[in-house]
Amino acid sequence: MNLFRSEEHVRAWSFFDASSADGIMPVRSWAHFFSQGRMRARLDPDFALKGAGLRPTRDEILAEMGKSGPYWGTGPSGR
Amino acid sequence: MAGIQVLARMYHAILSGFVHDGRAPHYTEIARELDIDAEEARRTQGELLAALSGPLAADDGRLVSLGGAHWALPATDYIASFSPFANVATQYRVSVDGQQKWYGQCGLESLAISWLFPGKEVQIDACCLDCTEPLTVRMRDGEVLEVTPPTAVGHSNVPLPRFALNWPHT
Repeated sequence: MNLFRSEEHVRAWSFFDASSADGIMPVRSWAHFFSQGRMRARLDPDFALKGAGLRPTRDEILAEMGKSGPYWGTGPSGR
Repeated sequence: MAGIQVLARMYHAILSGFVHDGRAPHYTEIARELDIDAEEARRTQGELLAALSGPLAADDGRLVSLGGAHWALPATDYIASFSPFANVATQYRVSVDGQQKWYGQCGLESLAISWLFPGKEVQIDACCLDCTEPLTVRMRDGEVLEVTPPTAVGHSNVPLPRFALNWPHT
């Protein structure tokens, strides 16, 4: 899970797996993905007791971003 | 196995330690903070890391559902990584209000670190794995303030459903 200077740099990376092309996104999009409720509240003293249900959930954010399919584990060919 | 209340307190102690000191507290430090003995802290820390990684779910499995990656260096009680931080130097150097003291677990989890420093500016500096040229991301409270170069992207070779199968590899 890495950052690159551009999509071209991802594709030129020696370890790039072409089947993971769906996972190339602008930094701002990944930052949005990592704004799930459970990531915002990690430092709350009772996080481990409540974190799993915090919103927005991963699936809610993926839906908002229009992400589906096998790479994201959503949709008819996903999980 | 320790009860979920103890595991929750330990989770908070470890993550708070990272935020304050830029590193994971040793279990002896956690023992003092939680007012438990060293061996109980060592054992509980191991149980916490296992529970967070599954399949040894604690009590009702809520810890596993927290997401993220948490593991110790092999055959030790030293925390290696605890989302969103790394306890070893990675290429993702993280500065808060200009002070570089933290390392991101990976490029993408680094983007979640600003949530742990409310109101402060968090900067991620790294070198591109392809060309080694620098890239920078500045954030505050989850908002991206700057991306340099603006073409920068994030990527994972591992599809989302398989993130947790081998966290160090992911």
